[in-house]
Amino acid sequence: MTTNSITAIPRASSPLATLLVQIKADLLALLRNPSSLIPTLLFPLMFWTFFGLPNARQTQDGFNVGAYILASFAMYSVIQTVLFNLTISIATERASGWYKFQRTTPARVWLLFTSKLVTVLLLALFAVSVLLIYGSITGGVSLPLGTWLSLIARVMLGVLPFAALSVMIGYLARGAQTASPIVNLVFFPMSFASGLFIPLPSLPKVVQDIAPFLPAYHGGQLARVAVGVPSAQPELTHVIWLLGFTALFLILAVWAYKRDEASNYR
Amino acid sequence: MNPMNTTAVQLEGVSKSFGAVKAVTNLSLTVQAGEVVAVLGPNGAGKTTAISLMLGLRSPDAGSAKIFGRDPRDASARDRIGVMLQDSDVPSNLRVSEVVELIGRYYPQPLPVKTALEMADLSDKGGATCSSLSGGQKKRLCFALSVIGNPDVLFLDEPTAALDVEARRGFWEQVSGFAAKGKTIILTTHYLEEADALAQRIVVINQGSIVAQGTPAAIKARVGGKLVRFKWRGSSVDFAALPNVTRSSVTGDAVELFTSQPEAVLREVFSRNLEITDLEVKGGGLEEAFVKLTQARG
Repeated sequence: MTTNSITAIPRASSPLATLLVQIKADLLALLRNPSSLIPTLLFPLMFWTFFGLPNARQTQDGFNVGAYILASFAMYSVIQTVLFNLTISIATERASGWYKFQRTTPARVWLLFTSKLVTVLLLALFAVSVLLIYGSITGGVSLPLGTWLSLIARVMLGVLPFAALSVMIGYLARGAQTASPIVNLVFFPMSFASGLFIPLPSLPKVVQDIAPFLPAYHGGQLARVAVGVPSAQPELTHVIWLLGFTALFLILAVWAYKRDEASNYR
Repeated sequence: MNPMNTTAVQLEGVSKSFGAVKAVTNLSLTVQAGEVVAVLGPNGAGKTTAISLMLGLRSPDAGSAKIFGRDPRDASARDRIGVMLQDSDVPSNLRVSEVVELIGRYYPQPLPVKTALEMADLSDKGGATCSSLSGGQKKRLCFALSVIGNPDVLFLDEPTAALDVEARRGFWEQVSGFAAKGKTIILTTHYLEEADALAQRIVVINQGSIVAQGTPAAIKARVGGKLVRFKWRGSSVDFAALPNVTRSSVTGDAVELFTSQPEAVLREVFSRNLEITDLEVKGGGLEEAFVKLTQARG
């Protein structure tokens, strides 16, 4: 028996070029899916119109109420974008066999995964930008450009735990039909209890006690500090909590990934 | 390098169990470069598990799987294979040409998108959204995805399941066209006609083991089966007891006799003055051979 020696075949495209094509394909797939785009882009605008706008021009304790609500909704917008789109895209592709097919090709899992992450973060960036522009125009919230950018950077940091959480749910759920209710069950109670919809001081004491143990609370606090709302704790505390949650969910995501590998690819 | 002496795919004593179920037991199979091999067997025989082991989608409990001497999980092995899985869907919101281009990007030396679409008879569907394709068109897209990387080895797992007869024949033409380029093809099927039409070698799998292999002609010769079929109404005759009949079945007035000597059987039938109609003698179909081979071990 002769064994053919495999010499490395020169690649027509570099890994980076492949990644860019993959990101483009993932973005197109997301943008052409109205059932994901409508909640992603329109819900934050609707919430702002119904609940933010009526109070936007008030001032309380030296800060602008419009900016307070807009910062909270900005956090809400990116969490929703990442959690729903990333989870459902991972769960759907696993169930449809597309992920399995991709694994028979030379494409590496890390490349497919990086593309998904970058894609959903780009979409989150877009969704939050649309909300901030709409909010600042309709509610007369005017802040320096640096403040807007700082707000965006903070919500993108605040969404990291949810990216890891999405990977975990995406690898545990069997298809979009299972993933979707799980995400809803996690997302709405948590956003509410973290003070993203209604300011925490107006919520029951028990919710106020739970909030500091939820990642979205720390994201929300960090976002509001950016627009001048004082926080009881130093910013660094919120950052550490967020990184801690990210690490925890990452460990769980790796566990879920390995569990899927063990049952489907061993 | 003589391609005919190159081992393209090799399973060496592989076993694989899922819980208590033994899917594949001590199976060895070597496929030379340029060969077209059909792996044939009933549902649940272990065909898909065998393919998954070749592809590195599953790892064997014992034994080894190699593609061109490499671990099938190595990128250098995957660079050279194209795959059509049984149960893979395509991203519904992408266009046909977008998906084909994307998969081509994974490979070192892909074919032009246009060529892959032509090979799959999808030239006029490049701009169509995947979700708008019919079942047969989706299968053809999967075929285009399996050839876009210009692979040396093509794996087709039940490629024509759920296709109608006409679509199946069209698909065979596309596969034959690819085989004519000297490519290695491994396909699984439970359509015996498909194995006969495409393959140079048929490997019959049942209950996780190879029960027979050889050229389609050799498999037929080994069983030597002909089918004598006719309609007959009358008092019961024990057809199974007729000389030279290996197996018989009577359904209503339809009688089917399996035999290696149809002439002798017909002589016997006529000598008994049975009034038969709709007489047919079907030559050495794989169906009969297959039934016999798998039942022998069952």
